[in-house]
Amino acid sequence: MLGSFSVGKTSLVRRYVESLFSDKYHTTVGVKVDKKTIHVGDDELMLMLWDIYGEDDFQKLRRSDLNGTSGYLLVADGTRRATLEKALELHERVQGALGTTPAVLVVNKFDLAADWEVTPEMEQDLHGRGWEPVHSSAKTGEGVEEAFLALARAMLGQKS
Amino acid sequence: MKEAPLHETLLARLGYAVFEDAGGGALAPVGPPPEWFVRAFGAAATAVGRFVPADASPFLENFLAEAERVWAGGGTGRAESGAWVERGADGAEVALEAEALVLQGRRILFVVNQQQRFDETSRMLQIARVDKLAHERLLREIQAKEILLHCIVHDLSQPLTALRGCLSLLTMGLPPDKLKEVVEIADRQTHRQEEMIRDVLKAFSSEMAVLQAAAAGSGHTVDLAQGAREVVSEYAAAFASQGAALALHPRLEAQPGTSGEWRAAGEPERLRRIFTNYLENALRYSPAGSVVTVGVEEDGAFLRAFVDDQGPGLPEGVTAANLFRLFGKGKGSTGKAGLGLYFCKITAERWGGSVGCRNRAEGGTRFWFSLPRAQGAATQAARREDEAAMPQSPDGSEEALRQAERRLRILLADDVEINRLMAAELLERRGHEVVSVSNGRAAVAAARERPFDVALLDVQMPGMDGLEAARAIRAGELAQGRKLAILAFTANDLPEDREQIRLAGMDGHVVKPFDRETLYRAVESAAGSAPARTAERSAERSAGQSPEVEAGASAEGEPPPPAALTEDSIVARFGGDPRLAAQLARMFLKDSPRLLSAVRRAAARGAGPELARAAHALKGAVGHFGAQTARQAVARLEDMGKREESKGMREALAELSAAVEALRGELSRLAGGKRAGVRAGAKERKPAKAKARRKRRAG
Repeated sequence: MLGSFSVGKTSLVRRYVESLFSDKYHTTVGVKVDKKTIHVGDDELMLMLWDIYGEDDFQKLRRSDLNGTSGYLLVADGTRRATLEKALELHERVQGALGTTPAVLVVNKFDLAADWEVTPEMEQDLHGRGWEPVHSSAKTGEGVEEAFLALARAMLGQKS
Repeated sequence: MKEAPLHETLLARLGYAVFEDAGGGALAPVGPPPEWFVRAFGAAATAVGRFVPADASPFLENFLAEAERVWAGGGTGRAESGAWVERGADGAEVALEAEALVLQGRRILFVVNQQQRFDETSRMLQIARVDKLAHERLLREIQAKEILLHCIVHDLSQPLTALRGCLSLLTMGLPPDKLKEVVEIADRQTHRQEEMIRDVLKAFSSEMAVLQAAAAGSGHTVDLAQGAREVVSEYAAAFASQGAALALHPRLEAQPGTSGEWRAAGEPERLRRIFTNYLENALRYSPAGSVVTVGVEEDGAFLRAFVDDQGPGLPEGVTAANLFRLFGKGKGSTGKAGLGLYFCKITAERWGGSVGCRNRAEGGTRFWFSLPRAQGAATQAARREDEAAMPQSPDGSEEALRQAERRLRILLADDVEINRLMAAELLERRGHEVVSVSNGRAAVAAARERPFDVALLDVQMPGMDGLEAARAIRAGELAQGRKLAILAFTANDLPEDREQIRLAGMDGHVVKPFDRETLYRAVESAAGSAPARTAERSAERSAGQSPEVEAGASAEGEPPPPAALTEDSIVARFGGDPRLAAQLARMFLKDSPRLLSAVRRAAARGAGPELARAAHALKGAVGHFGAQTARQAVARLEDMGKREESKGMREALAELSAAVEALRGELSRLAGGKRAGVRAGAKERKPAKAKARRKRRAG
């Protein structure tokens, strides 16, 4: 799980693994690893979900935290345009470090869609650059399963 | 039992778990493991003489690879893991850090409990980040207020520009008739500014709410041609004082007066701001002797207004995107705050339009904005196109249904655009004249302004609903001495709903979704112009049957739900008219994300009246296409909203999202493969797999 701080990475994992959500913001320091077994078609897949601290001026992504990465969710907060730019910047750095690795771009906080700064034009631009962002809400659960499933499929090299 | 060496005990006491590489992905403990280590890693930590990270911690297993690289290098290299959190069997979490190094030729890895430091860091980061989020929010609010302030200053300065132009002309020794005209223009501008100052003081606190309402779509329309004429009239003097000329495009000159054809979504005062922003821009760059032309042209479903100047054109490298962005300036930055064009952009976009500029082949620049045609104008234009291309119906049924016995003037009020469009389209095809509005207040105003034969009022509309509007119209009729036939437009057909309609003074109701014959029968019967096939019913009414039952289309008027939702079944619901079906499909594709999003947003705030209203609006829209699954799901949500009961809401939302997406899939094909209104890049999915709009990338 990669992205800027307070975009909802921890909340997405919590929603996905434990079906829980809290409105209160708790910053993540360091890394927390969760597991979830899923079925993708006939394949059983054990996802080891690395919830990595959000990057900002205070915490920078460590190269060693990326070791062994099979794929990643890039998470942005739809209500903060800058987090989308940060996500794309992280993507460039990670691909530079790991080479081509499956990734799914998630624009979170869809429950606040009315307040989104990420506009359809920006998404159009993303589409032109090969991205197909998933809209998600850790609060309502919307799009959460789909995001992880999309990543799982990408890691297995399947089409959705 | 042999006692552990002092240094080992000391390390354990200090919170260090020390290991030596044992090969094969295993570590050998150096000394007894600390208590916290055992709590964090359970049985894996207590195995005698051997600790295997792969059995205990994915993080540590990953770090071991890093450690092995350092060990292989020998020397003074070190690897630090950074902080991570382990959750023990008891559920307690502990923050750890690991480090690997080579010491006296031995490959060492130690793990240290950093909980205390971690807690302090977390507290500090939490405060810093919460402050940063608050700062970001504040910046956004300041930005919004800057735009608001700019709008106010801009509005107040507009009359001054015109006044200055008038004063300049007064020094030129004009003939008496021209002099009088200039003085009158100047006088109007002073009054306008005075009114604006009063309005600003009154409306300052609610301005943002107004902007937000505009974003949600107020349903207002403006006449672009009239707007163009007004600004040309007001700014001509300013241009003349600079030796330039301001002119209306010949096509508008040739069509004096206003025309419904030029009506578009918008609101007059903000339309004026857009025009004047463009004109001030043109004035700034227009050399003496040049002409600036203001015009409006048709652009499919849109109307495009433009301001053409004969200035130097856009410098190389200056794009529309640069100019229209926030604080964007061009052409040497001689403009003001860089908010004017940004205001034009956000305003046009809020009305569903767009803005742009380009250099003209003949020299100079064109600044333009497009706005969606107002519904009446759009349907008239669409009908002209359809009629030109429409083949004759083989069975003649189209012809039979096309014309009513008498052309009725119908007032139609519904806040859901697709409902308005569908009813207006059907009624206009029948030969009736339709005036559409999006809320009860506008319906009451329209009914006061001009006579209508029938009013169709949606019962549930935000602000003033149809029942309240009917009561207001009836109250007004007491003074006017005439009575309008009023029908309720409703998706609810329960006895209590009918009673409410009756008590509001309405003459009947039409149940949504409806088919065209039901609509025609209800409307024409209510207006007393029913065709022969309904005459019998009219006779029954005379004999005493209640008009509510008579005019109201009962549920049996609704086409039966199809066994499966297909393109054919949808077209069949529109009398087999694929053009009409395609047009409404496009409307639904455009409108449904907003309607669905409104339901989701309302649901996110909990079950209540807002959810009921949002669900009701979507229910009417999906019902037109016979999408039973979607209709049932949204009806459940409407019911939950009414009962303020959240149980099962998530499932209903998921079902609704899937059903709407399935419907959108069918309608996309019907609409010619276009996914109008879909957020950029959405991919079509098979209905069975469809969820909400979802996109992903496998990079």
